[in-house]
Amino acid sequence: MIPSRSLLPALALGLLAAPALAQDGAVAVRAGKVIAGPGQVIENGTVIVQNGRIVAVGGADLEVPFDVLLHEYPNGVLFAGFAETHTSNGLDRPNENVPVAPFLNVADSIDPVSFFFEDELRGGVTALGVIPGNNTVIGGLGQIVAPYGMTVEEMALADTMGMKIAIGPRFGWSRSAQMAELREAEEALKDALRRKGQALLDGEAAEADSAKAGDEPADESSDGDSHDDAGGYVRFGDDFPGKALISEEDLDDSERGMVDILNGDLRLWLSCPTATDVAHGLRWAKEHGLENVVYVVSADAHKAADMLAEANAMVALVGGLEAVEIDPVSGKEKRTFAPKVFAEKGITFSIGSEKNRMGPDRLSYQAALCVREGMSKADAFALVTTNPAKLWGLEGQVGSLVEGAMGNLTLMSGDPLAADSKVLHVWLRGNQVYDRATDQRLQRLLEGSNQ
Amino acid sequence: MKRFLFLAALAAIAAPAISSLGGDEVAPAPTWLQGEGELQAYHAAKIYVDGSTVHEDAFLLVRDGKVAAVVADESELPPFLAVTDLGEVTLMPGLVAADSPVTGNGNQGDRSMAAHRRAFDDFDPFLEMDRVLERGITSFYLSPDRRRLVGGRGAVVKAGGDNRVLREEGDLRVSLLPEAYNPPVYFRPPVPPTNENPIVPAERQAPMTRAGALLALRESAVGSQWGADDLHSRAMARFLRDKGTLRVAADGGGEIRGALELADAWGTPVVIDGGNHADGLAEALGGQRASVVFHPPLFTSLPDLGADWQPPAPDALRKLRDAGVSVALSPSAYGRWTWLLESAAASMAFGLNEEEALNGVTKTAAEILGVSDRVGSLATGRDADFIVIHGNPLDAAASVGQVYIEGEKVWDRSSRAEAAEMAVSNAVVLRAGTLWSGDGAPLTGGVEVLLKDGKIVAAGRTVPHPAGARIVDAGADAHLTPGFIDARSTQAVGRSWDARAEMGLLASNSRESESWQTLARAGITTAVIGPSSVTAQGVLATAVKTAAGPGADAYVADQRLVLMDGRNNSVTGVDGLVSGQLRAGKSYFDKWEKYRADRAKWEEEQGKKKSEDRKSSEADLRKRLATGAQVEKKEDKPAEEEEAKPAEEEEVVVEVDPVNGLWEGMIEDERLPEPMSVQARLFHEGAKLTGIFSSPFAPGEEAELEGTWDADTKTGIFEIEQEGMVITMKGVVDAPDHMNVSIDIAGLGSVEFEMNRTEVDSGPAKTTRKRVKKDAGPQPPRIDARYEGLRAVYEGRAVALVWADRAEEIRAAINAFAEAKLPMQLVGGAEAAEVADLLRSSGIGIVAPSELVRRENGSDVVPAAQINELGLGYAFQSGADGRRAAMLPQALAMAARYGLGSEQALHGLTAGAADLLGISHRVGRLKAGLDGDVVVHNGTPFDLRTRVTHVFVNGQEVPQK
Repeated sequence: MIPSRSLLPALALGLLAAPALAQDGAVAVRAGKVIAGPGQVIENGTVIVQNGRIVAVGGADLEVPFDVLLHEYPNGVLFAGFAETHTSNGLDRPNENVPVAPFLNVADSIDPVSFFFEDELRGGVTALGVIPGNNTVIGGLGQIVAPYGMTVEEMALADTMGMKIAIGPRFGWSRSAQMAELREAEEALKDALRRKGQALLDGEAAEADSAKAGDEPADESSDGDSHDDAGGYVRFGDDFPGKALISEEDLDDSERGMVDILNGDLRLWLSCPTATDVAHGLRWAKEHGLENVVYVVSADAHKAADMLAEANAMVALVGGLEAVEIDPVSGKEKRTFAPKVFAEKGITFSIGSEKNRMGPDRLSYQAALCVREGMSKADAFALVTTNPAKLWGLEGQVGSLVEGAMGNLTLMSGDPLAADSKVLHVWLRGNQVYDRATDQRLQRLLEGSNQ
Repeated sequence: MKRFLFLAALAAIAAPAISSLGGDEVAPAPTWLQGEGELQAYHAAKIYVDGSTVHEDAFLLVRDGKVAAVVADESELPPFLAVTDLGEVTLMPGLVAADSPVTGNGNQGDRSMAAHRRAFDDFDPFLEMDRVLERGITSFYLSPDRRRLVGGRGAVVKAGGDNRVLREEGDLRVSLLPEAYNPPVYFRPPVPPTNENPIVPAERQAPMTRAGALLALRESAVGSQWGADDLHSRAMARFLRDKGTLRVAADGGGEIRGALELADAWGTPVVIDGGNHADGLAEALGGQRASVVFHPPLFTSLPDLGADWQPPAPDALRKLRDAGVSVALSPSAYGRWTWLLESAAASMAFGLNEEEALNGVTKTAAEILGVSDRVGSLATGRDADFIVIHGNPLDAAASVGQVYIEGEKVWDRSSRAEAAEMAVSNAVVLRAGTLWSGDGAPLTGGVEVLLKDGKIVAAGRTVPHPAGARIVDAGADAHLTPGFIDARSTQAVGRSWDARAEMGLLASNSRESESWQTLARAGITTAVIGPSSVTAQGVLATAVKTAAGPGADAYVADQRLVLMDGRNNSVTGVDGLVSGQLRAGKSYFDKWEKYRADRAKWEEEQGKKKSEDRKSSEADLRKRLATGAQVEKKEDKPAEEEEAKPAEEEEVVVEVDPVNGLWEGMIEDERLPEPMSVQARLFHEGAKLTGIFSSPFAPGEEAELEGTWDADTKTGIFEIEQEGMVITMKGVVDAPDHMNVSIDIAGLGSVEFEMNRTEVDSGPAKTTRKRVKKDAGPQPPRIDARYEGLRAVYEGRAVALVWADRAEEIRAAINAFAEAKLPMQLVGGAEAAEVADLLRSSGIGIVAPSELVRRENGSDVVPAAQINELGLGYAFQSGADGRRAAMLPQALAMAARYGLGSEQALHGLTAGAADLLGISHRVGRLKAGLDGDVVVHNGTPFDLRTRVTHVFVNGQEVPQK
């Protein structure tokens, strides 16, 4: 999909304005149990949301303003809702067939009415990181959204999620081909920037010449936005003539995305499915001095846990939680539960759901698996709530019920990690967006089609 | 050298001071003595520094993961240095694979020429390296894409260790082979396409032919010098500027010529990868100082190689070598790339000598890959990457035992197998000059015996060498003989013992026992153990292995021996002595036969009854199932409840004796240095309790104990008097298979611990037999210990050894046994010469007296020699235990000297004895299928100058002192 927009500032404005456009609601919920964050349980707690933000979290005695409607659920459990760190669902397709596509943005591809989002809402998910898939070299920009809204702008929870780059080879490629392609893209960018810098220098010289000759200065900032003209947009790499003159406006979408990454301005989602990819990914990031990186790994990466821990890396574990290896000598199967390994090494990581399997397609199930394998309930809970928020850079905004956080609430009938707990209500920015009692599809499923 | 040792000690203590000692007579202190890190030393029988430098019986010194030195003389070692003795093994540098398919075979990129691509990017540091390490490979080449004209830069990495990258950007690999022809088209659509950046047709890439390939390469090189600015050209320019190594995949003459031309034009060193037919261009290659990675044809199966395929010429490598071309070796693609040692061996068929062949997988390979400053040899300062090989490295039998990288052990065959929960290969290949099978003349001029799983698998000139087999090369002077058999020993038994005591117990764990080891080390691997007092009724004896673990292999269970005394002091009644006992034995045997017949008949009737009445049979089955279930339950319950069981369940009680069986426990006490495990086999008959303990007071020894058993309180008590102290052991069975034991040492305090029963012996204890229900059918007769031996003879499970000296005693015994149609052999037989014909016709052999050389009428007489002269079978006995019994082979050496002959002595002590005792199906010969009992001598057996160097019992070596 090729974007038709040419003016990114308009988009940026639109995104910034998005939360304001959504109808910010006010609500107060009192529940038998409020889980404010991992391990922080308030019995008979109350949460008050005004203007779409949480203004107070407290006990049963918390005073509710007169203009806020109070809902009381003495048997319910209230928390901020689950967070899916990294998914390519909700897009019409996960990847373009062009391997290097830094100009893509999932905002153009997300389908707000797709059944996927409705189902996530039903599962108590309040935030999802939607990003291009891993079958790519440079995949494009991702977006953090709530699973409800008529437009992508309405769904968005933040400006951008960051850029996807894959170290793990594209389907049918070797890793050396993958890395060569990445280097080629980088070199191509550097060449383009060099040419641009030189052109700007030449232009400036010509301007100076013409100014000397007494000509009227050419009006360059025809859009009246002097900000765009500020040079020094390119900060990474070696100096070259005219580097300081390059402004954001001088770059096209494709170059801008790459420059943002290499500047370290964008969060980078580095897809490194296997332990080997992690080794090469860490090396690559270190070579480029990039720190704002989340490593998107599969369970196999547990073998590289030491490397990840040493680099103090953030990790998004996607797919199955268990790695299966075959001992080459005895032929015996060896199973390793990756979250446990990561937790033991002290790595900041999140887990995701597996959409093609019944059970693991819910984050609650995945977190419960971690409890079964010996993690504490609070730690497992953090993997699907606060840790994704950390990985997104939205700590204190989503994933926990604290003052100032977005008014995203999920009310469940029991322990969020228990198999028999049901999602009863979901509020996004203080607006009720889901009520199990009025979920017609669910009722049809549970009660049959004969009504 | 003494002086030097002193100096070395000084140097270690005060290294700077040594120079002041000066003087011509003082050897300078070796540089490796100085250094920061800790010095590690490894001793091996043979150390290859590289293919050409070999030290025998030398030490490898390692410091900080680097080779500090290889020292041939022990006295040069610094004092107090702990040496890891690797044993009779060869130590050599870790192998360097000059090619590997680890990378470069997957999906290739769509650029025909990509000098900027790096094989290192495909390196998987988490790849399982087991199959690589097990072949002794410590470093290997990573190839870039093979099916592209310019695949990219190769790399060299290690198979283990912390520091695995040897060369991240190595040679530039170019392929002139047809497999690189016809690359895919290159197409990247511009995004978005604009006027300035329009969509252009997909680019067709060279080469289609060899000419096209060479043209494209030349063009590319020129382009890179003249401003072409894509990544490939930049990488190419850098390669040409730095004069990197050009590695060209080439096979035929045309390809090689092309490669040489390119390298000449570019001024780069060149390596020909392949070049099976490079010998035709040997001069040209030598002239350009080219190297070759040669792929000897090794195959896993027989592939279809096409009509054009030709093996390399027999002198291909000799020609290359003579032209000054250095050759690294790596198997052809049809074999496994890890077969480096095999490649080296195979290369000798194409004209390399051993030294060059070994260098081709170590030193030369490292040089060609540009990593010889780190790996490929064990010269001082190189990485301490070495492998431990059993046998000569180029032997078919060679197998890698351990692999070390930078001084750390990264792979060990036995621990790897253990980790994978697999059985460690217990195969042993014994090598010597001469093999005595036990019969007749020996096999000389180099022999081998393969032992595996406790048995002899093969014996002959050469035998198979399974992977991981330990190879014991005893040298060309060594002789192999079957394990010796002592036809009568009193080891570990007293004058008499309960005939029912299981003889296998005596040998159980005898491998660990010092008193048994004495016998085994002397070469006696099997001994017929019987009490010193022999009765006329006969006592049971068993052929026991003198160094065995627990289990059925520890003794010959199916063929027993009965020692009978057939001597009579009175002149009258000689005839009746043996025959009388045989009659008594017969009547006891008949009782058992009758019982067996009755029992069979009863069981048949029961079966009939059941089939007649289906309903009742079903009910019966249900009842039996119910009782069966209760038996299992009952074992969990406290033993007291057994008393209260209703009568119909009592038949089950018979099986579960509370005390008989093998008990194991662990004594933990702060006064002991470490927890001590204890084993006891207990057996009770009524109130009499006997047992064999592996005694905690004398580790490695077994103690026979006698004590009392109180069935009511389920308490057993032993009292042992040892060196004036009375030790009381009291065991209370508080739950089934569980006993609380307290050991009280008078005056010193007591220790309490628990024991659990791990094996249940169901003895026919009288107390329980009484409870058997009346309708349980015919019951076995009462056991009569005196005639158990003869019963075994009647049942065909045993051979009788009758002790008789005088002619009439011998005659009487033979007649009695002939009448009873039972097998017998003779012990003693002083007057055998008088009845030689009878003995010969009855096929009876003689166990010679334990007095092997006798002084008679002023000359030395060897009774065994006389028996031999009579043409009778014979065996030898020690009639003793411990060290005295261990002297038997030495005594025989004397007998051999005084008229018996070495070969005869050996026969009587091995095959002859096994035949006579009826145990030749297990022991006595070096023959496939028999027990793995082998004695290794450093010279002719039974020569006084010879000694035993190794002894194997049941395939396991007996530790020598």
